[in-house]
Amino acid sequence: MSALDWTVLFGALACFVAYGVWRGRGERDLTDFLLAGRSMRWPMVALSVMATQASAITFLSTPGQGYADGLRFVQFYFGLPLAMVVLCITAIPLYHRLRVFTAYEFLERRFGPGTRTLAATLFLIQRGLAAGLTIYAPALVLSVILGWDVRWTCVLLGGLVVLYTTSGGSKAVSHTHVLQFSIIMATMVVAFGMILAALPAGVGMGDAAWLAARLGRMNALQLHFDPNDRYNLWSGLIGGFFLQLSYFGTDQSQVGRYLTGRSVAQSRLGLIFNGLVKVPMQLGILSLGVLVFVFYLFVAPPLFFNPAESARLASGPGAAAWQTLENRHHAAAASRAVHARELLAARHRGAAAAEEAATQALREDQRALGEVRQSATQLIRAHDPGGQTSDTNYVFLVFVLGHLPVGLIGLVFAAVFAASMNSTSAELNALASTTVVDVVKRLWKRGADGRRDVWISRLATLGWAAVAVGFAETCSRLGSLIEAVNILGSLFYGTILGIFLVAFYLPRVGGSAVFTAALIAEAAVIACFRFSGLSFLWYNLIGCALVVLLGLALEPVLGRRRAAAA
Amino acid sequence: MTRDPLEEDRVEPRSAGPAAPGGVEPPPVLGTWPRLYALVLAVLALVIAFCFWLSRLGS
Repeated sequence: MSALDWTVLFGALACFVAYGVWRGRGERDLTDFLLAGRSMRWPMVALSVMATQASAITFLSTPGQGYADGLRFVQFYFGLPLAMVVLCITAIPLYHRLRVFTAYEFLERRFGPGTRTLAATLFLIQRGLAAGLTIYAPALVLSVILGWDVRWTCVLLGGLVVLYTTSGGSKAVSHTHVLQFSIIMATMVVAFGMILAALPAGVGMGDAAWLAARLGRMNALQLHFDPNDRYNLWSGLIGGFFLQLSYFGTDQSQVGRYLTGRSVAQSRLGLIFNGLVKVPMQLGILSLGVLVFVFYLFVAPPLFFNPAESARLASGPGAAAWQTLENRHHAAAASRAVHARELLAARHRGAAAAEEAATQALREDQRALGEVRQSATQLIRAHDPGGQTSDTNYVFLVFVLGHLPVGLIGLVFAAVFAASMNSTSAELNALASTTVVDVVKRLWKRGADGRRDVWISRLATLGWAAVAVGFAETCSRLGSLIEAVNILGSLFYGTILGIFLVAFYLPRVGGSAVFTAALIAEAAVIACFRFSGLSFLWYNLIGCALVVLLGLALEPVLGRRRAAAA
Repeated sequence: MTRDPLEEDRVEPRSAGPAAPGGVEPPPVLGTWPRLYALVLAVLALVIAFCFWLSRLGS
């Protein structure tokens, strides 16, 4: 990177931290620190909710998924708008009316302390680990690309977030979300335009989409039903609905965001905006990856996008074999470029036969490139069994470094840092909220003292930051990191959602039944993960359904025992 | 029944927004919440239709 890029990157990071510290000053009590005084208007709620969900992983993995796998990942988000509507009708009015700090407080009022503790504990485990992944994922990619040590990159990312999250709490988090998310979106739009401009003369958006479609990259909708297929319309609408319902309805990192709304209406509008914008936004980010794929149809891409692995192979004992693969790769890429141009020329002439012949040749080149890449990953594994064989997360940044202008490169890197800080800050704030409200204040009943409570929350934030950075240091080789985060979430979300659904809609089911049902459901979900090939989106449905059904089945037994004991 | 220690911290929001008497204030567009929810679902249907069109592109 040039001096200008480094200046832009570090200038932006300094601005984010300073702005967060400045906007977060003046916390007087827990409501200020954990819920920004419940004073936010809907645009702030909306951007904060979106920024929390869109971590750096979103901006690194998603274009990579678009490049490697096309648009099909967008189906993962189809359930989100439905979940937003359900939450606007049910959860938001309830949480506002009860004036809770965390979603789990509601469970104690409904079922008693045991269920509240169970749900809060599941959340703390899941979100504490996920916070580590949220730091580690971009740190790994940035460290490889920038040549930094991954451990220090984790410490830098965690440290920057801690500076303003600890001092300013939820208010600092919400305000920095707005600033950072706006910069991220602007950067993505500019990057999209620059990639379009970088395509060969005469190749426009329509040609790019058509070429991508010819090579199977416009597969945005798959109608077949297959429970083992991760992304299709049905897994997205049904499994995705339960995942998003659980994430937005019961995960404190999101509940804490929309509870900052000054009224039910402001919180609702924040979620409605998210429901309207999220799917098109994800489609846009995936399209960025597809556009990069089309760009590399005309310019030879690297054999392997992870520069550290490539360099290791090129200079190690496997150098000769790697060079052979490089030669095969460049020959196939050159042939693909020729056939892509022929295909476009045939399209512009309207020559159907030539078009078909060029399409077949292009697909043959693509298959050859795929074989060379497969050989490359086998070579990586042969020389280092623990080597990284997935390079999806590196595609976008390698493209940015190689083909975007000076200044914009620094801005893209700043946007990746910003995205990581966004989600990490919301996670730390939520972990601190749950720790203080659902654990500390229940065990240590000393009455209200605003200043003391704020300091306890600050210490909790700091403690969870240390846990997250510590876990981040131990993460490695997780394949596509966005999938790792979603799989981790799906292991717990279904059970937590089931508890909340019983709480909302089944008033005759009591605490003992739902507590036992939740333990069995969680064991079943973990068994599915360990022993079946079922797509992870279905874990949410399984966990949720088991809690509801077992809760109903156990209530006659456990409820009667409870009544007898009373 | 013991008092929840958290209750002691509850404070009214300093800048609570206007609320309609006896209920939630209406949304700023479309007049009622059900209409706004219908808009969200309609946009989702449009996006899915767009995805269907994208999937058929070039075939």
